[in-house]
Amino acid sequence: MRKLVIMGVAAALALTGIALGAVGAAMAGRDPFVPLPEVHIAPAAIFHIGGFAVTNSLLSAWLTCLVVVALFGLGTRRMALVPGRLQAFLEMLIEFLYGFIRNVAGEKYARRFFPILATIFIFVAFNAWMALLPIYPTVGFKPEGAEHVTTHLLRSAGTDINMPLALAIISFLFVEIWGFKAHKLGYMREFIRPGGIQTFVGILELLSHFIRLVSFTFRLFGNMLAGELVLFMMTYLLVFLSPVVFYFLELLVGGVQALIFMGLTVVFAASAVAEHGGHHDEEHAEAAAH
Amino acid sequence: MEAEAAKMFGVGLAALGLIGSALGLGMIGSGAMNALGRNPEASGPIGSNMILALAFTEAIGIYGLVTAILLIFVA
Amino acid sequence: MTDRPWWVALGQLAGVGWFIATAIVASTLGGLWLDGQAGTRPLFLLVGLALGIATAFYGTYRMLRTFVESGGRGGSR
Repeated sequence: MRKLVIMGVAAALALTGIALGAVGAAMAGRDPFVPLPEVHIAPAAIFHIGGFAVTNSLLSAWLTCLVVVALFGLGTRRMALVPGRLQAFLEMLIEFLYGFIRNVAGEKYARRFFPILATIFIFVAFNAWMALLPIYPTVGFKPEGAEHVTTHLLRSAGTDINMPLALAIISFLFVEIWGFKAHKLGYMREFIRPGGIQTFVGILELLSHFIRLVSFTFRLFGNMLAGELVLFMMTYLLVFLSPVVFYFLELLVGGVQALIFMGLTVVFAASAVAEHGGHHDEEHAEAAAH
Repeated sequence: MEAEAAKMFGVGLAALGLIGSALGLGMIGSGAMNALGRNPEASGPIGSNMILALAFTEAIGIYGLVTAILLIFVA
Repeated sequence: MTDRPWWVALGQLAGVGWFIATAIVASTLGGLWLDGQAGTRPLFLLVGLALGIATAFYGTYRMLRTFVESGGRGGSR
């Protein structure tokens, strides 16, 4: 009985939302309740320090850093053998990430890879999840005479292409640094390979390293921007309750994108530090034959 | 037909190739569920191999997407 | 075969499709840009397309190799 009442109320709310939104407005022939959201690809500058523009996406990146530092500071302030709720959650997160990296890269390299990769995961995931908070699309500045906020104070950093690009460059640099650390100058033999078809493979290897940069950047940027647009448009069309489904979807997308960003970086790092095998064996055999 | 309109038709037709990828993804999912029903203890290997198959089926679908994108920019 | 958890497989392989897409699109558009600079269309366009497809397959092969090699390491719990 109680279940039925809850379901009825939810259905009524969802229907009201649809009726109030752009769909219902178009059917009833009146103006929609929520104005059509404006889509900005470029972030808006909030204030300037010297010649340096502090944009809303940068502010949200700083906020994410603060929140993550505060969360981990609070959770690890009084470390107990039997952890409290926050400490248990953080331990679970760290164990999950460490287990993932150890699974891909092996025990030997997991400890070296862990700090930077876990940071990337936590930053990307928390940044995406915090962008679902209602303060993000509501708090901002209203120009003179405007009906509603057009310049937001905060905006998910992933929707600004600079953040994914910066993360991609960081991941690219660390992969190369780890590769050079593991093989010293012998790492260059990945790219410069002697002899016929191997030269071509070396060029492909070099090219694929730069394609990774592009791939990383546009995957994160595209997913985050598309997620934000989906939320805006669904809120415009359906007003309330129904967009909650899409909020759940975005919760999933944020975590999965962070996981993929970290996972691919581990894969590339593991492949950069891997002991020479496979095609290198052929190379040695060829060198021995000459 | 105008050249621009023909190009856009081509883009749409190229993106239709995603149907095959979608069907493949569905078949992989159903196959994995079948396997899981027959042998629930093997959920670890089944899941990980299912994702391997999913990733490559998805990659085939991406070819259609790439063709569509390149048609828009290049043709 | 392996006892790796499914999310590890997801993290390793979910990016393969997008990698293929960016490899082909980015190198073809790079070739198109070079053509615009040198006025040799469609020479670099085709070179870029061929290189892009080759890179896509090579990169996929590398990722798959890491996936297979990391198979025997066991689950995290």
